[in-house]
Amino acid sequence: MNTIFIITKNTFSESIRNKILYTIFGFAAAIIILSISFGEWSVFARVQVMEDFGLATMSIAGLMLAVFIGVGLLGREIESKTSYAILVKPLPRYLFVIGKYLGLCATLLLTFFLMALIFCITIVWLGGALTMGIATSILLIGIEMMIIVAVSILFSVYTTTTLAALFTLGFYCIGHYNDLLDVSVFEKSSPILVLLLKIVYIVIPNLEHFNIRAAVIYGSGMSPLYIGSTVAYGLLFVTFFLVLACNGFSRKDI
Amino acid sequence: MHLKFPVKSYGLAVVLLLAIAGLQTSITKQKSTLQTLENMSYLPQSDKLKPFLCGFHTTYAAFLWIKTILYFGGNTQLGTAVPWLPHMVDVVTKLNPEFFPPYEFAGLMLTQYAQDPKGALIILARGGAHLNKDRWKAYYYMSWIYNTWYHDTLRAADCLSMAAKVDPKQREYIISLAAKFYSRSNEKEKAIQFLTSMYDIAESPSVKRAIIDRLNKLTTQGKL
Amino acid sequence: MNALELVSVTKIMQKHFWTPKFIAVDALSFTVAQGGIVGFVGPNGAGKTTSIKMLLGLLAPTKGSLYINGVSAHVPASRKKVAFIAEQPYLYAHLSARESLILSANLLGIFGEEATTAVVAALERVDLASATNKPVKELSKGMQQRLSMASALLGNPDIFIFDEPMSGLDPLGRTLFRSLFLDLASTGKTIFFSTHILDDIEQLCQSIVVISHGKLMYNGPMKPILELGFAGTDIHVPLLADALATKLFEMGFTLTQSGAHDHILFVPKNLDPTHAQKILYDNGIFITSIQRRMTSLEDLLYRSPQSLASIFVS
Repeated sequence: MNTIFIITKNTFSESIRNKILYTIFGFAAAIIILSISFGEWSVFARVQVMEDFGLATMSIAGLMLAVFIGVGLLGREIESKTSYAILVKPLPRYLFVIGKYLGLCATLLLTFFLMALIFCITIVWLGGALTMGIATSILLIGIEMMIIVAVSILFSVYTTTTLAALFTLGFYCIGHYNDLLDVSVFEKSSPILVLLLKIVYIVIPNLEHFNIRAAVIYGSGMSPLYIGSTVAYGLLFVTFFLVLACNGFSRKDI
Repeated sequence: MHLKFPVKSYGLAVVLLLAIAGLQTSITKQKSTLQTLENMSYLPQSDKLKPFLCGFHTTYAAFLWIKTILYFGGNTQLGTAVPWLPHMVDVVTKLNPEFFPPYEFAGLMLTQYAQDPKGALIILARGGAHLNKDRWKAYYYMSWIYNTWYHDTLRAADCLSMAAKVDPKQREYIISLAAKFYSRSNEKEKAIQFLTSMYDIAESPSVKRAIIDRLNKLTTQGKL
Repeated sequence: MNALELVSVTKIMQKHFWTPKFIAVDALSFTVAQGGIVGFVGPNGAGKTTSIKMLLGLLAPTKGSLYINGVSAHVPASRKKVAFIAEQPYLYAHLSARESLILSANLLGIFGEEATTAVVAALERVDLASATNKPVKELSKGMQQRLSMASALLGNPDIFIFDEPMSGLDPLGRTLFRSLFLDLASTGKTIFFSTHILDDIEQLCQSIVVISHGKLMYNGPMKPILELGFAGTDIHVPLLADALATKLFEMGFTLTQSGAHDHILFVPKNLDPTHAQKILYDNGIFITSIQRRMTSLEDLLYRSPQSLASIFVS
């Protein structure tokens, strides 16, 4: 546990110095603040438009952070062999992967927290209310980003930095289109196709589950059971991808 | 292999997947259809959307079409309304006007489930202008809407006559139906005119015979 | 118990799935005893770095087994008392020299005051006390290599595995490393290092392991290698009279003129140089100098490593 904490701390201190982090954060913060003017254009529902823009910006900025920092940090470390500094020590390799993951998540969540703070201040300034729904929506975007970081780590273990970044972005897109694989539509197709679709439907997380922006903004809300299930669903996927990443990394020639 | 991951990782991965599968089903059931409904409120008009699709508008149309089916299926199973259905079908047909299934869907489902015969007619008219071998079906569904929803047999007859003229197989029942609808609308002259023009363009002897039968009946009995 | 042991280790590598496979290490077996300095030499591409990486668990062998202190090298615990330095210093650029060592110490289970003391001592031992708070990225390559050495010294390891540790060092740094190697060896530590600098091998190693094309060529003490390189004795004398020159030639010695006034009398290693000396003395010839004629270590180890096999077998 101590070793994981040491690697986590080192990863955090390394990634927090990453210039890309500040660039993306600055960009996201600017969009959140500028979305006040987008709200002005909409005549009605100024706060709603602002909330929508803000949450969407946080989601996209989170994705970019997860991809660039996640893939960049671990992938570069494997390629440049800096990881030798840790891997030649008498430690099982899975600790390195878990430590890296937690360090990246800590960086991501800190940045995310700051973005959320700017977002909330802007909402309050516009006269909007900070509802439980908004907090839940932010929470689920955070969980979604944790999945993306885990995926980026998994891809970094198996392929080059550039390919891992592309695959992670592709994974994000597929994850959001996963709804399309709802097998009930294909029930009358061949059983093999249905089975294949079922496997893909289960193995690739349905990232649309984490997108409750519309429901929150338009006030329909989501049940606590839904939120709980989705959080558990996300964390299970994080564990699943980390298990695969640890397994792959333990066997990798470095 | 060296450096074995201490946990029986594959077993753990399978257990995790089983738990995920269970949750996936549960979440999908819980997911409010309202969310899907509201998501569609972000779907812009096709003319605004098309420039952003960088030439992939037909691909996006296919994607949106599947979304439409899922939206429709999900809501009808739950018995909830589908207010965004006409807009979705409209965007699909504008992005890819040659794609037939959405027209058929518009003809049958928009009227029944979205209670929007007017929207369906607009979409089907687009099909009439863009489709090739299935063009007659667009007119056929239009006639069905005029007859069933507006009880306008004359317009239904006009649409059927268009369907008969563009039907590559020159189906006999469409020709008969068009003539019958003219007759029901007390437009005997139009019916004769239609049948005569169809006789000129018909290729099959059996169809020609059927048209002559109809014309005889119309002239002798005054109606069909 | 041997400090290091490789048993029929083979490593087949393939850069990409579309490129052909090649054998980096071919049924390699050797042992390194506890204590002392052992050189690991061979031409480029011989498989030295691959073997070292397998020992450290960074690469998995395709076949065979590797042991450190009797513990299988794929078990992380086998590296408990092992330190490593690579040719390139692999350090975290965002940390300072001190933070870098604290990280290493923590990973070895050394914390708090104990870690601080160990770090200060290690930095002083490699002459980096003045750069304690400098970021790693601002240190020169030589300084980074010294920092790597400081990191290796933490935790009092028993076995030091170095892969060309002196390649980026200036003469001062090299002298420092040499003296450190000798210090460590004098306290019973095992130092196993690969290098291309044969001078280091001659001066530091009691024994060497030579590999070529992934195969073992020699594993043993340095002395037989140096003897293998001994070709004979050169005796420098003033120009000799023809009669004496002929007599010496008939006895199996060869004579070559060196400059206008000197001859070099070469006594092959199978003949006794004292016999030649006696003849010269008896003829009143003054011997200017006597030298051993050696085949260079470079020729022995790199150009004809197969020749080592004969002494290795014997």
